[in-house]
Amino acid sequence: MSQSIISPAIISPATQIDPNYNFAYLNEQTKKMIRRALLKAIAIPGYQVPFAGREMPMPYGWGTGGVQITASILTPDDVLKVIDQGADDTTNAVSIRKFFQRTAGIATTLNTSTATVIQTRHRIPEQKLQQGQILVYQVPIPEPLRFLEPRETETRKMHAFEDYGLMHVKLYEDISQHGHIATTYAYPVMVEDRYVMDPSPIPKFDNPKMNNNPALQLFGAGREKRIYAIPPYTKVVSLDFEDHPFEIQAWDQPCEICGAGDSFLDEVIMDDQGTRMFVCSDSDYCQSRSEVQS
Amino acid sequence: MNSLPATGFPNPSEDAAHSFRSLLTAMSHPASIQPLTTNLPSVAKLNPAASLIALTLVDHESTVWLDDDLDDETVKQFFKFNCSAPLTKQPNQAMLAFFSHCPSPQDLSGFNKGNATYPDASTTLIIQVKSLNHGNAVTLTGPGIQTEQALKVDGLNKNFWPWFKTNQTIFPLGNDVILAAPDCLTALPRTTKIAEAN
Ligand SMILES: [Zn+2]
Repeated sequence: MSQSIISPAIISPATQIDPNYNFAYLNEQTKKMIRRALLKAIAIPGYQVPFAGREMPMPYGWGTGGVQITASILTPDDVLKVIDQGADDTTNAVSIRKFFQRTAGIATTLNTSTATVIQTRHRIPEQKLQQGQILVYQVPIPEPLRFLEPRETETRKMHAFEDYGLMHVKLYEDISQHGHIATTYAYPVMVEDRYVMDPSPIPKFDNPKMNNNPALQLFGAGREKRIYAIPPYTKVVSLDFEDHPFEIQAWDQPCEICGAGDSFLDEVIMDDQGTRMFVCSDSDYCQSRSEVQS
Repeated sequence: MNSLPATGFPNPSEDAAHSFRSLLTAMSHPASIQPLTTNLPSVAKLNPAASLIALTLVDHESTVWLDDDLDDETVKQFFKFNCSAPLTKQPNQAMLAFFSHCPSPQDLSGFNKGNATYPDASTTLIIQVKSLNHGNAVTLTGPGIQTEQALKVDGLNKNFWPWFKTNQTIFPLGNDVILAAPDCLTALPRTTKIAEAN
């Protein structure tokens, strides 16, 4: 599946499962319910399938929707990568990775091309994904129309009748106020010319990666109990206007660590003097490029 | 008839994880052929792939409809004992429907196609076929298929593909189909389009 040469060093091998847990924590009946919802989500790309979410041993803001999906799709053969804002070493990513090491005994990796399942919060890896890989997004608010209409019954109707006029009005208000569309995160997309979908709070820089991606993309919202999906090779278009076409963020400079000119950059403070630097938000991408150069 | 443990799978958690993954792959790559990840016996006229699908997806919250050939005590016991499944004779009540052989379009007319606000409420149709290795070929396109995907099926009647074409026109409503051969399975979600049928 992956074309890269897999070095064993970049995989933390499978471990013993804590005998107090069922495989991947959730009980079989909960997994069945989530699995049925996942198949429906794939069959209706971009549509939000309700599911009876379960309490997880972590707070909602920590990606319980993504964790429940990952728990329901993992097999003992998987290699899991977990990223938060592009990095594998944040508290959130580390704790989710440890959770699945303990409850599923699976192998883990920091390397994008080695992973079979990648759970993510707020980024899509820079490294192109391959057919067979699965990207699981943690979603705080699944409903792209929620800020226009608080009632679920109404937003359901708007999706049913493809009533997306208000969404276009909102984006156009951005243009009249700012001269451009000011939305930079969770920028709404149209999936297969049918459903408007919230891509989760990824930067709009990542939106084009969703289109025609060879990997399967799954989205889980724990608090609101919604699952949605983009199958591989599916059309995903960012909403825009003829006179104001969709544009991604751009920087005046490349990454100051690896020199990448094609990645999403974060401004980080490097020392006590407040020295600032622009570096790749995707730490695996940055590191693998730095290793090649050195 | 079978000596499976109460859960149906020899290793319930891991076997279900593997079989679900093949269903997930089938649904996200329509018409791709997925091997059966656990060897299961046939249960009367319920073939091993259909048994695998039942054990993977069916529980006490998923109402199951069986066609006349499957509606015998052995199969019903299998569904009750291994899946705790509520059985129904009402097609529009079914979350999953199992067919021992290809139904006619008239047979399919009564199943739930979902509704505009909840298109996911539709019945998933599990249809047993003789083979997915030979038979009449059809070329398919749609989400999950990079360019086009050929599928050979032995065991669908000639009205199936015209029905499936009609099913595609009512998207996002419609039925998703899983074809269950004795040794493998494939899926045809409602998004899949027919490029040409022979
Ligand atoms: Zn870099």
